[in-house]
Amino acid sequence: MARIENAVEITVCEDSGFVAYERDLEKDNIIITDTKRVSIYCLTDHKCIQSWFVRQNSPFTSQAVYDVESQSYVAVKKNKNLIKWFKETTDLTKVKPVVLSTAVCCLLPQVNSSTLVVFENGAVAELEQVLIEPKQVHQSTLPDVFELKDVTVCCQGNQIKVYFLAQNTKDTVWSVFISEHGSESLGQQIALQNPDKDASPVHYSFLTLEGSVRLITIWSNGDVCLSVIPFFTTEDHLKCRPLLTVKSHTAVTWLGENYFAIAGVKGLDKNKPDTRFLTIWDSKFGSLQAKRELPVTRRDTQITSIYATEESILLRRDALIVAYKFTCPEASLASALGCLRNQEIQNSVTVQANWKPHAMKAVENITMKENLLKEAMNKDKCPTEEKFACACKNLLGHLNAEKFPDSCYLASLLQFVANRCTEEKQFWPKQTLLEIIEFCNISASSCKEFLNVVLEKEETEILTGCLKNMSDVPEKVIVKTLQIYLRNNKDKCSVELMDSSEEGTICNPFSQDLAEAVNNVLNCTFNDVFMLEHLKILNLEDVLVLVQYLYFLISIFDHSDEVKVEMVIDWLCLLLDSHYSALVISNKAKTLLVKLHIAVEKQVQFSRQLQSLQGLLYPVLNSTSFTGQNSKHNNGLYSIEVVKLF
Amino acid sequence: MPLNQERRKRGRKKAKIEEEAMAVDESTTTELKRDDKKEDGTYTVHRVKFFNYQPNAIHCLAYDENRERLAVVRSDGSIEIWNLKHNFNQERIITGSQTSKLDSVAWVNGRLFTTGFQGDITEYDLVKNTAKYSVLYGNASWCLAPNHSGTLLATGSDDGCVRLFDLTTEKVSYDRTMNPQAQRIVSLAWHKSDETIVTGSIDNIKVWNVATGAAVQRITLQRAFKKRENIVWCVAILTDYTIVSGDSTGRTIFWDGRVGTMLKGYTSHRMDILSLCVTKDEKSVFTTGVDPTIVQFSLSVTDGLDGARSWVRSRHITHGHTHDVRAMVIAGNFLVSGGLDTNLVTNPVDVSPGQPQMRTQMEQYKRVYPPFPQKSLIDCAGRAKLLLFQYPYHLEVWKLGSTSITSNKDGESLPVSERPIKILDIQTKGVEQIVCSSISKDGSWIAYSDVDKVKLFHLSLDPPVLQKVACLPTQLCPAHNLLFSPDSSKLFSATSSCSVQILLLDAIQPSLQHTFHAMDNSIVLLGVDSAGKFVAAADVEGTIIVYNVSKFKVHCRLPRYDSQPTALAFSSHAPELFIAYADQMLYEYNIEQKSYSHWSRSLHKCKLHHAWLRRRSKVTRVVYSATNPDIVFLHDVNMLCTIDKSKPLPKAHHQLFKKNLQDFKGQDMGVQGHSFFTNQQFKPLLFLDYLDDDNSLVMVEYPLQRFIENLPPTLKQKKFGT
Repeated sequence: MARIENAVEITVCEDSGFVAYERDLEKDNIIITDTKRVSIYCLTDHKCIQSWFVRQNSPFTSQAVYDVESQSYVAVKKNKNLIKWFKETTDLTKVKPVVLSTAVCCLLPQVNSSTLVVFENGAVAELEQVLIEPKQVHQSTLPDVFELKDVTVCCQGNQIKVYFLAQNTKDTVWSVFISEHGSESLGQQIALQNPDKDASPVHYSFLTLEGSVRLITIWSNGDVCLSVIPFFTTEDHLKCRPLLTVKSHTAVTWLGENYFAIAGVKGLDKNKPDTRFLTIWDSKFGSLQAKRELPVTRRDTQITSIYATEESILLRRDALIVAYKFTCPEASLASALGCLRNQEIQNSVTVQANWKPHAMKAVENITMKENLLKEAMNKDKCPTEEKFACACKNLLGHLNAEKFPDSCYLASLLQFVANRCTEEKQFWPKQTLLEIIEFCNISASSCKEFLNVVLEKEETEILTGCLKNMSDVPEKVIVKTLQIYLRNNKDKCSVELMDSSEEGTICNPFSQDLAEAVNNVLNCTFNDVFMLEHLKILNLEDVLVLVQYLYFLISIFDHSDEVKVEMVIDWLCLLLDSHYSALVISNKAKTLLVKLHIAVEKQVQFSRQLQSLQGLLYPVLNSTSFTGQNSKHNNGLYSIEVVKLF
Repeated sequence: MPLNQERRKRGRKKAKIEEEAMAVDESTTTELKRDDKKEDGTYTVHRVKFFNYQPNAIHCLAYDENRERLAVVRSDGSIEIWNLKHNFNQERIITGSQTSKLDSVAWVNGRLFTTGFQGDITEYDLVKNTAKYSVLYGNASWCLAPNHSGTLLATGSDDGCVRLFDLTTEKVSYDRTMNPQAQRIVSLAWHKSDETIVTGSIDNIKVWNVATGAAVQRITLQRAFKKRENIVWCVAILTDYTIVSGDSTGRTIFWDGRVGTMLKGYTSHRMDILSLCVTKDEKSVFTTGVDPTIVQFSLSVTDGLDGARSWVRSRHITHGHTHDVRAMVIAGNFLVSGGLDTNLVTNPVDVSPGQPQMRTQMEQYKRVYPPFPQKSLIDCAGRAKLLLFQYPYHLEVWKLGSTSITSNKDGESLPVSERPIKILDIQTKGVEQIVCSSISKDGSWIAYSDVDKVKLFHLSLDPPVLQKVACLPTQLCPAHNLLFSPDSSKLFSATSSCSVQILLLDAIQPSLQHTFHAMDNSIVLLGVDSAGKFVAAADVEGTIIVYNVSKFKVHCRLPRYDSQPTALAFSSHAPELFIAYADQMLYEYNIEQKSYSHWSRSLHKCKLHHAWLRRRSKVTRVVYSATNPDIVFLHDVNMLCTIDKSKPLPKAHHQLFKKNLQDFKGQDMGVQGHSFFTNQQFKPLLFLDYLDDDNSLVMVEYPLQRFIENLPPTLKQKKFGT
């Protein structure tokens, strides 16, 4: 996770005016240029190593850079006076400047080659060349109406391209100009697409990667946008992808490929309206990675510039330059998203994630289905059960049983019926409901009220339909359904139970229909912890009948198509567990339990025999084929191949 | 009905026949056009990798300088005798048994002795490849060492006694026991004068006077941890009474044996030192152990004026071993070592300081011999498509799978329509390991022999019945090699008494047809021609005799060549016998003309390719092509070579072995211009044979991955950053 450490004060410079930073030869050093002086600071030691001053009347207008090729420092005074000096030079006033014909915008140091001089008209020349022919007039590569705002250089192979960010002074349209280094023609113009009509970029930062350039812009409406410009592009418009929105005046800079820093983000805390934060964001997801509160100053001071080295972020607030050390680990999805869960961070900064580009596209025919649903749910349009049935049929005709959102429509329809029937007692379109339930797998949890109504009404048919077709029927409903079934057949059951216990033969205590319905219940999936709780509502008689039925099931063998033996055992365990003491005390249950014990014993014996059979079969499998040996290396143990041997 | 114990027992009887396995679908056997194969050299190859052979760790080594033989004792109690004169050829294997666990081995005047935890001293018969006799006296022995004059054998035993045994020409007899000590004696060495013995024990080293039997010096070693014993695993004494010890703390210490003081100590290893050896000139000492690095110590002159000398650590050898090194011995210029990783590794003893010399020395002496026996443990019934796998205590018979698709595209893997299936598992009843085994070409007979007797089984495939042939003739001796005649009517046996016996096969009463006159030494190879008329037998010394088995007489003797034969085979097209020798020479002998064949003579006129002669692994099998008389397949562990006799022989400038992938993918192998086609795709290759009916080959490989996984974990290496 990214981290920002405490601030370290670097220097105090002129109250206003130009300040720029550039990396020195040493990794840890930084060159800070203001109007009067050029200083080299060591960031780890927080101290100034060296300083050069110029006279008041000839201030610096571009940042000083270290030119690797000539191993000297270069800067521009009064726009056109280029000076070059070595580290050993002590007095800069004595160094004679080279006067150029065109005003210089900035200097771009290159890692392996000569520094590039960027002129205000967009021309680019190598420093060496400029020093040889200072008076040469460089052709403009930018249209006159454009004002140069930022510039960067991108190389691929031997090809070098210069990217300018420029603003049209007339219509305030911002564009990126790409010109090839060496060519004097006008560069390729790519206009920035405003995320908002009235907005214009306030802060911006270029990042040069291999084969592409990234531009991050903060617009006046607070949108933070990311644009990617490929090395070879033919587009004439540059898309600005909004990442997030920050509501305050800020400054932005890249911290490598995956992160960028924004300074001056406003806090959420209403008690401290002036709190500003320095924040680090993930560039892929626009998620906040780290933040640090900036010290509150007496005046509402603006952050005028931000600059990042590999390890530090430099901020200038008026005269003060402070450095924040930061760490950004390798970006990962977990780190990018996991951090969002940190409420403290999230709540402390005003941020609105912009989901517009990620939003799911609406399905075209959704509106039609919605209309049909509304029609069915309109009491005025469907006053009678017949009309309602008609509307439902119409809706079902347009739905797809396989699709998830469609089952949601039906769930809401069921809910509607539940509500309506409580109001209108006679409204109960049973057949339609059965059709709806059978139509697709509706989640029981999405129509709880409907299930409650059905239970209240003791509609066994609909209940059976629900148990058959719904996937997550709550345990409470299962037990209540069971109770209803048993209650409806109570008299018959008790008689049969008595009969069977007298005769001592195994017989089914339920009638064919009831057995089918009970099997339906027994086959429902459930969680035994919750089930145990709800089973306690059954009375002892019900439990006895059920145990009797389960005993019947376990005693006969051909119940493969009715109830699985695993389910029977689960139910037996649950029933015995939930009413254990009552069953033990009850005289009625004793004979039944003894019989059950014998039946279970038989099954155990049977499973033991199966085990011994397995023991016999295992070595046979092991010995006859190598697939049985160790399955880890079986692949490729035998193959038939065609090989050319000579 | 409940399944009782008895039924289970019956289910697990030793020989199992699986009925379903026998359902051989004749219709699915592939039919390839023979003529196509003959022309383009493309074969359907059954690549078998399920031979579950378990290599055994090396426990101890001994070298006989006079006869240049190396004894390698493995963890299963088997002893391999390697002949260093003939290019490290594995000459014979004395099979072990379930009861023998050997811990020390020694050569005395060409006689081989071992001792182990049973406490017996065993001498071996190096012709019959069996134990001659055992002398059992006292407790479990940890170490065994003969004196320099070869008259006494000393053992160090678990009860703390050094026992001396008299060596006579016939026997070993107990002489006496030195004064006992409390701790077990783990290591032992004789002084050159034969008057002093030095022993390593727990926490101490003792010097003994052989004449009086009393300890004259006791050196106590420091423990690394208070509660952990320091075991002196190995000890040596030099002529100047310098004692060298290697202990369980990983320290190599040089002591002055006269006064019992330490001269120099090095923590040379991270774990126990298990073995040390001293060069003949006593100027270098090598130590190794659980930490598989071999460290050399050299005696160097430290002060030029008075010639003071001291032992300095000079060389680290990390080549070859990945696991604990249990034993190390100096054999001539080779430093031979072996351990848990089962490989026999050699390194140069002396290394010249100059770069070019060092490189040639390294090339010459740095070798790794994999743990696969020279004699194949696999046999094939080509006609029935059965494979016989020989394991130490059981045999397995597998039926090969089949495919219904034919193809000519090189490298194509054909879909297996019928998977291979194990149809038989024959367990031995005794404690002795199987020496040799064979299956007849039609798969109807299986024979194996241990050191006691030969066993014969008749296997009828339809319906599946395995019948043990009980009444074998009493004159039938235990065999070193077994071979069925191609028509499956006879069994040829190379007996332990060096003769060839012919057994007429019969399921009820097989009879011994003839026993040829015994050869001079153990028979290592046996070959029969396709008509079953001639049998060739080769002994350890290189004598090869061709017997006429219909006339029961010696047909011819091959000219004696001074190397050990490693593989031989008769051609199925001409009366020619192909022999490969340990020095990589190849000969083809025409037994009708009783002279070397034309090809063989031309081969030796222009000499074998230098790259061929430089190979270290020996040819383990020769197979003539069934269809093309000019094609011979030879293979060793690392490569398969197809010789096309119709093509010119390779010249010195030809490249014999493919070095890179580009060479492997050579588009047209036929245009390479010489007769030796090598293929290193199958590695390690243990067996190759022809399947008769569909002109395809079967190759048995041993996946190295399985071999590595079967090994115990290595000593943990500390690596940077972990």
